[in-house]
Amino acid sequence: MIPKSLSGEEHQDSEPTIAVNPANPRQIAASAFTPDPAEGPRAPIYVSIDGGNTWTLNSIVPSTVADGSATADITVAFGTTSNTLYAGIIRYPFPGDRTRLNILRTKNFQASALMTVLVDRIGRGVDQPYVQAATVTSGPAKGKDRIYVGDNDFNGTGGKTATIDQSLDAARTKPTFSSVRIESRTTSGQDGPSVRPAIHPDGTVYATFHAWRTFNDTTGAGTADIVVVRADAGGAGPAPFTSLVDPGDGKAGMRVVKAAKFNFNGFLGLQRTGGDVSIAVDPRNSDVVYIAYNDDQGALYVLHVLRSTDRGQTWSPELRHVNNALNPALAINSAGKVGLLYQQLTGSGAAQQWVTRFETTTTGTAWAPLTLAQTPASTPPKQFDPYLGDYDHLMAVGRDFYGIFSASNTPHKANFPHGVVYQRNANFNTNTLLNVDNVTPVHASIDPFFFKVTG
Amino acid sequence: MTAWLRAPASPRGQARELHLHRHGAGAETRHRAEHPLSNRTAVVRVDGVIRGSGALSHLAGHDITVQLGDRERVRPGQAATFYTEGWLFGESVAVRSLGHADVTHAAAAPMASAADPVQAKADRDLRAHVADADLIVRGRVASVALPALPAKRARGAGAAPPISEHAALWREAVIDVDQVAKGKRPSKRVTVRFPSSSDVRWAEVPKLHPGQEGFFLLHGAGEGAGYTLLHAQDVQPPGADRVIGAPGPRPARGRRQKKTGLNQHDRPSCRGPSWIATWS
Repeated sequence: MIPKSLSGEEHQDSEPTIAVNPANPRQIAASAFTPDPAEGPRAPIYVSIDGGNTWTLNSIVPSTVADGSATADITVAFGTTSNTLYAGIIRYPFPGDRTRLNILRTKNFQASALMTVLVDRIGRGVDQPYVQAATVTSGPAKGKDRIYVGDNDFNGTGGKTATIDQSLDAARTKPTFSSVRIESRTTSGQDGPSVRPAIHPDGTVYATFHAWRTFNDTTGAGTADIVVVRADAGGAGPAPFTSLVDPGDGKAGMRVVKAAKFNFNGFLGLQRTGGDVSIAVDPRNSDVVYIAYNDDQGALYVLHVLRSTDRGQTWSPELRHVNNALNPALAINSAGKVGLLYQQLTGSGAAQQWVTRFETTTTGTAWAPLTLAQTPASTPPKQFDPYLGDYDHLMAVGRDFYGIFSASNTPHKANFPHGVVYQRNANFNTNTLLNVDNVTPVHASIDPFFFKVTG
Repeated sequence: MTAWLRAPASPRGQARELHLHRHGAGAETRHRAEHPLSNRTAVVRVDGVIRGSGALSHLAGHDITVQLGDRERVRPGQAATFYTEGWLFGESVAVRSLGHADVTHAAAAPMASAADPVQAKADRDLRAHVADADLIVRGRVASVALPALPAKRARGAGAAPPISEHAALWREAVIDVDQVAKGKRPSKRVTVRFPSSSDVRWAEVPKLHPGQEGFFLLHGAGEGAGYTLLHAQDVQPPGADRVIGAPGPRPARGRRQKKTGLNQHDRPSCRGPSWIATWS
């Protein structure tokens, strides 16, 4: 996705997300830890207006020069029919450890105007904002954009930090937001950073999060419940996200998995670990919801996929189990086909690779794999954490899956078994990246890669 | 960025026609697809970069799109220095003008042979950073340890920092001071906190180690609250005397003739924005 005019860049463009405009799937926005190439006071998003065939960076996200013209976290999402792009970011500058949440909006993601700041909050800090959006399709709220930003808000009292920042009319001139604390139980002092919402057109909204129950400050080891919450009225009403009650303790939020082990100081290869979660709801039936999560099992970092067909009340046995894999991203298309994106560390020593796979299933049990990339695990060297990202992203529009992941960009055909197209200059015969002069070699780096699979 | 443009600066409302005239329909189509032309854009040729990031330093001889400010006017054949920020980076490049100043061909020519534009930008950014620092000392790191003071005393950090992948993981270094280049320090030793984290937020902030020598650009956390390192430029090599010793002068610009289109809001700041000199 790195464009030709930036062929000389060697930055670690990790942790990508993608937003396809459902009203016009040729319009796609994406994000990553990519700084403004001009090193100005804004950070860029990636923009495509031809369905992902070509990409341009558009610097419209607030940032600062002194802090590297970037963000500390960024995710993006379009309203369903509003053509409005929303972003959740950690904005620079922020004081000390207290990360600064911004929720942003633009009605024209190609324009040069700075994105409008809808929410700007610090307090004790807000971590890992993950935005999802949808336009209401029927009823009194028809036409309104609803956005849900999952984040770990350290302003939550009593250690209940898992939060959904929501607006039920985000496209209005001055939208109102509320911070919904979705943790209902005693924590180790806080929840984990991963809070992921998923929206169904009928108004049902799910979210899953990494609910920390124990944590060792010295080792980083802990246990977490994988909790799913549900809002049946789209987050409206006095007690949003309490529709799903765990019969085990009568509290809101189903503990789908209890006491999953994690280590916040852990690594898989060069990528840090600490608790991945993902969630997707079947667009044909909001009763059907899938989650993916990770836990530590001995020396393995294991990815699991589960399913509920009764709105989260009961859950299937494990449907998919992948050792040493992370960054799960789930989506379900209009035909009910489930897509799973993940990145797995394979091999050992110099032959160790990050293998990025996209798998689909219609049954939940038989999975059809597609290897998108298999790249050296330690080339290029790490510039910062996270090496690949604490997440990647997958979504579905109609029958089509759209995804994004970050990986080593060494131009080697064997690294991309189903082919790849670079925008930046590269020589696949000599396996060399080339600068804008198409002559001078450039070091390998981590780039975001876009893919589309027709379901 | 700082760059030199040679192409005709297209006036408001005529960018498309001028572009067609210069480059033909093929180039016009490519440009329009990437960078939407409007009555606020001009297509100009870069003759040289005065200051700019590495991603922009190669633009000499290339056409780029410039989005003009609300009150900016340019005319074909006009020579000007543009102060810009990055906008679009695709197959070609578009920038936002923060304002421009007319220059003559004769004035622009010497600028074209100026120093490395990337280094020029780095030097300017460092001068601005020096101006921002509260205390600058030259010395040697005597020790590094876990903080002895509560974390909240580091700049802006709250009590009992939460557990986050963005946590700074503060460490505390004691620096033996040889020279105070800026600010006042009564002691021969200064204690400074720095983030040991390799997270994206902190990775570029220098990590101190015992025996390390250099200039340390320190940021105060308030009365009696110590100092921190917060930015990639906060440690400079011992030989940086010249830059460290001359903090803060804002670079002169647009000296030759009138400035156009600048207002208080979009006036170029000391850091970050790029300059483009255009002439034909």
